[in-house]
Amino acid sequence: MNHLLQVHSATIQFGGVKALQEVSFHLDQEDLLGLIGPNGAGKTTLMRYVTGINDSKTGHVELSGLKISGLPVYQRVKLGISMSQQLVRPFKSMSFLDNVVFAAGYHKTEKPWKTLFIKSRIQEKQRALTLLERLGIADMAMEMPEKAPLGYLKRLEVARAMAIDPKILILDEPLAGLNQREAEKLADTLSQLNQQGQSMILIEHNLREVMRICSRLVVLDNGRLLAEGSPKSVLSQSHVQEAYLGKELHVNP
Amino acid sequence: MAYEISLLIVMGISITAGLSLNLITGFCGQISLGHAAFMGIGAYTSALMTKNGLPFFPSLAAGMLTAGIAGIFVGLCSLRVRHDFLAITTMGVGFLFLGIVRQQDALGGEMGISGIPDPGLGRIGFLLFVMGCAALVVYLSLYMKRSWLGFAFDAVADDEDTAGMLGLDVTQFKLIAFAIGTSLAGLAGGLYAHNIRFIDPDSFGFVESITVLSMVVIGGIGSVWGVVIASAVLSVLPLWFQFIEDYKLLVYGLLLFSVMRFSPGGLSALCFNIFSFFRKKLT
Repeated sequence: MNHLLQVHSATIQFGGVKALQEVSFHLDQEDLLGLIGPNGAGKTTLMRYVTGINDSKTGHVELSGLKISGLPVYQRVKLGISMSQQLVRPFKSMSFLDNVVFAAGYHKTEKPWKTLFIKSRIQEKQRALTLLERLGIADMAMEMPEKAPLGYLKRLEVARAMAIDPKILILDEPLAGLNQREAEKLADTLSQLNQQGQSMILIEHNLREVMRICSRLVVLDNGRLLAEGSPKSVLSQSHVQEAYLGKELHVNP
Repeated sequence: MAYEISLLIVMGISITAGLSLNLITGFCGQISLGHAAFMGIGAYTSALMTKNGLPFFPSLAAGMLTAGIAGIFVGLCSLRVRHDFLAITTMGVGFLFLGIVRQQDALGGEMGISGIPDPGLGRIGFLLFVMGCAALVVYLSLYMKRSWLGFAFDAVADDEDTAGMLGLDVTQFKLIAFAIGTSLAGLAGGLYAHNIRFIDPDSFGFVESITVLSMVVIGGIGSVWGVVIASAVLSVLPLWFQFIEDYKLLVYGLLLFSVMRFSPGGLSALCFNIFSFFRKKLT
């Protein structure tokens, strides 16, 4: 059977630095995959490879058995891969609501020439409001993103990524910048979404929440795949602990 | 009366030209320093056709078409460049146009084309037609702002990478902006040619491109009414005051500088700020 997403030996080099070396992994339908690893491990690069922002000559990506490497970013998005960025990039000229309304209107902007003849935004507004409420930022709907706190902008990124009804939702550190209570709440929301059938990849440093909600983990370190499997089995491996916490020091008394 | 009619015609043509660039630079966020070239293409196409005995309206439409096709072509070539590089590329397009036209005897070379036929509408008829065109372009701009096309343009102007991440085919939207904007520039050019009834390469040089850009920037990039007012005023100022005509570059340069320094959002932002200032004072 085909996996929903399959990455075959992705290798990406930035100048002399090998950001990814022969990394392969897969995502199945209704998985909530946690992608973890120390800073600079290549997690974001790997996801940017999946969405097509970074491309590599070796390796390839398959979505439900269909090869999508080589396709431009927007086409992969249309096929169902949606990613929220780690560094928030809201449309600064639009309110929170309009940011999500625009994303929710993805089917209206599909045929560029036709957009001149479409005006109604009612459905998209409804959908956007629902999403903002679900993520707990509906109180900011009419505000401009410029002065909003990071925690709100992070959730706006998530709302926008959800608005395009993706097959795979990739979230890059959505919990960063949130306090523990907010993080827990957002993690709950993501978990619910996953239980309703949304397949998801979550890049996250907040291990507590990752352990709580993810069904599988992929660990990267230094651009290599370090481990893969259920959260408990992965984190109990000694080389994973080493990558995260460093080697145990044996000090002679 | 004849003088006022001439002033109003010049105004109407400028509004059309200003708004045509506003679609590209204001709405879609793509700077162009060579916009006069597309006015030139429209002007030369329609002038050559009417000079060869073809009727005015089809010639005008043909001018729009050729300018629009050239616009799509330039748009295709400049898809990979952004910001300051796009500015330089479009500037190059403007000079390329001049370079070609100057060397073509068929296009009148340095001497330009004179004796362009009268459209045959009478002065008042022509004025009404020009005003009608300007009004249509105003309407189109306002309508577009509220449509999903305008919404998508906003997104592209704001952050094209993010727009792509949300599944928007940014390339196509940029091409649409170029196509519509440059064909409307062709319309302005055709009207210009049949108003003055003489065109030469200098009518569509770099200074003209900057003049149109000043109208957009001073009016307020992206603001329809701001650009309408700036185009109307800036187009007739040189006709009213001889010294402005003599020092056109200096005056426009100074205006551009002051707007960028003191009110980057142009006249529209300035009015908005003054309005909200007084409203605060009153409440």
